[in-house]
Amino acid sequence: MKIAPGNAQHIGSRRQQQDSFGFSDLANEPFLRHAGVLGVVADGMGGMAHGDAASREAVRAFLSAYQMKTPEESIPDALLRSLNFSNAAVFQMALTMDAAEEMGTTLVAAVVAGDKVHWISVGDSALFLVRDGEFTLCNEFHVFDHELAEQAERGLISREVAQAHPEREALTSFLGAERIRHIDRSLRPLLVGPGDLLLVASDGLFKTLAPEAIMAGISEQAQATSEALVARVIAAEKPYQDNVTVLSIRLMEEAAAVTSTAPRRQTASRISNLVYAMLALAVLLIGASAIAWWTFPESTPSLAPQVKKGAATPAPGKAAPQAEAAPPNAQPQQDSPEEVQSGNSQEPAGGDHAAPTKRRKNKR
Amino acid sequence: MNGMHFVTDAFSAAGSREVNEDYCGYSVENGAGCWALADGLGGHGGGETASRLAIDAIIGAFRSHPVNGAGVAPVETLEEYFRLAAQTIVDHRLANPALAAMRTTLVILLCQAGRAAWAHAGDSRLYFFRDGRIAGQTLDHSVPQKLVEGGLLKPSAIRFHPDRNRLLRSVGGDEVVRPALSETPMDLKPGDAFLLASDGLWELVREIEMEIDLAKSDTPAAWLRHLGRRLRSAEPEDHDNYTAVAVFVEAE
Repeated sequence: MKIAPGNAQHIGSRRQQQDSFGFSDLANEPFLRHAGVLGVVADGMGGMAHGDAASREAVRAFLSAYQMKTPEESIPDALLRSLNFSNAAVFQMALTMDAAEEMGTTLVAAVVAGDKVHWISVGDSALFLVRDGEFTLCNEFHVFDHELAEQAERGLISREVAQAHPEREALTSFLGAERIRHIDRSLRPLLVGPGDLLLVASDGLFKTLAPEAIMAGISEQAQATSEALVARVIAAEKPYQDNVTVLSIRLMEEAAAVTSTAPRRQTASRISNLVYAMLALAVLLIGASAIAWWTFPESTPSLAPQVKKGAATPAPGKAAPQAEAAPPNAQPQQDSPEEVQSGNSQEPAGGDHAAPTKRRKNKR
Repeated sequence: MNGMHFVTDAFSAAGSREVNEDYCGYSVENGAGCWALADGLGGHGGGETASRLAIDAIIGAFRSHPVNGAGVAPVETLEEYFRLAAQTIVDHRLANPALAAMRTTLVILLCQAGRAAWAHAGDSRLYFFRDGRIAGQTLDHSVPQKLVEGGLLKPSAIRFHPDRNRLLRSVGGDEVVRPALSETPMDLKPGDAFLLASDGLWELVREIEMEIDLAKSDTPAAWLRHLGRRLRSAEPEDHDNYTAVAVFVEAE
């Protein structure tokens, strides 16, 4: 089986991109053989401080932990270990930022190894399997809604109360707490075949587009699928449109894949551009410092730290999942595509989106 | 291969109906097991009665003669169980004219000496799962299933077909019952799983969802909990009775 990944992301009409994503190293053949292809999406909790930092750290930690997988370790074990590591990393970050109890993120990770799919998930980001024109959610969301539905089932509250509850979308489990309350994960593989498509997405996708609208955006090409779905979300012009991230993993026959993976132009991602810009800046500053040293040798000490600072800044950016994980045979992150953004006429007015964001992803 | 161990869980509920005409039962003894599910038809309490009579007769017969030896062909036992269920319903029907219309669907799974066989009549289903996917399933005795066989309907469209309740076979009528039997008994492996389901379940939960939920379940109870959640989220206005029996095959 050949695997083609794609990805796209958009900030929606929010002020901050709090979604993060990444793929495992798709060029490491020996690793691919036992660990498969891993795609991760995390959605930082909007109502909480540092949602962007939380999701970025969660994805970074998850990818680095999964990268340690040995052939002896099973994929479900590696996913669980990575999730625990990721949770600890976000929790630790919250402690050092003095934001304990205030940082949180969802995370969904899917692995395709041969004809087998595994996943692990916390929160309400989604893994969908698309097969024969049917669209199926693999993971169960950890939202208060489920607990309300169970209470209604047992007759503790009425169905109407359950369905009108203001906190029904609040998360009942997320990363960044001392312990993870609920985990949805596969213990045994789900079998997939050529033609199947996996979508790993933040809720900005499926809370805006109905399943039929998502199906209509799907095509053969993984990258085109991710881009089309994000474009459709933005075109829907939903007020307070949430951040949206869509990873597509298309499974193909080995033979069919040979033609479709003809060398494609590597497009530099936004992060890569950022790295280049930082490097250019560093070169400039080094040049400037050299000139300064040449002109005023005594000023070097004050300029040198600046140079270092300028050169050091890209490092965390580079460590961010988007940069190191861009799949080699797919166009890397298409962040805020120009044509999509121009279609998005709603400028986020100051503060108007804060309240719904908070309500959307409360802790519970 | 002997020394197989079975873990079972089940649920049955009325849905939004007044009465639950579904019924199920099972028994596992000395490494052999019998699981049965029935969905009764016929007014005036007939449906309820027919499904219960059928299951009690079968499980009672299994308990009094647990067929765990390799000598007895499971197919013959299954045919015998169908005759027994039919006769029990007919006898009851003749003694209670108000219940003259009662019938039931029936699906039975029988495992003995490390092998499995199954039989059914009507639209209660058995799914057999191996290596994470459905490796066998019963075909309904219904009008839409005939349309599928004639190439006029996609299998996935059965659950929406208006004639899906028109059964071509059931148990308890005057005609001789003809169960559909599985082919040669299946050699079981640890990790195999079965799901017996009435139409109230399989109309709302698709096969791929059964596979996905199986992948994340370490017990039949967990599997049914996930399936139950999918049923709840489907929230049909008129929810038929729904019943499921889940069986995991494990190494002793």
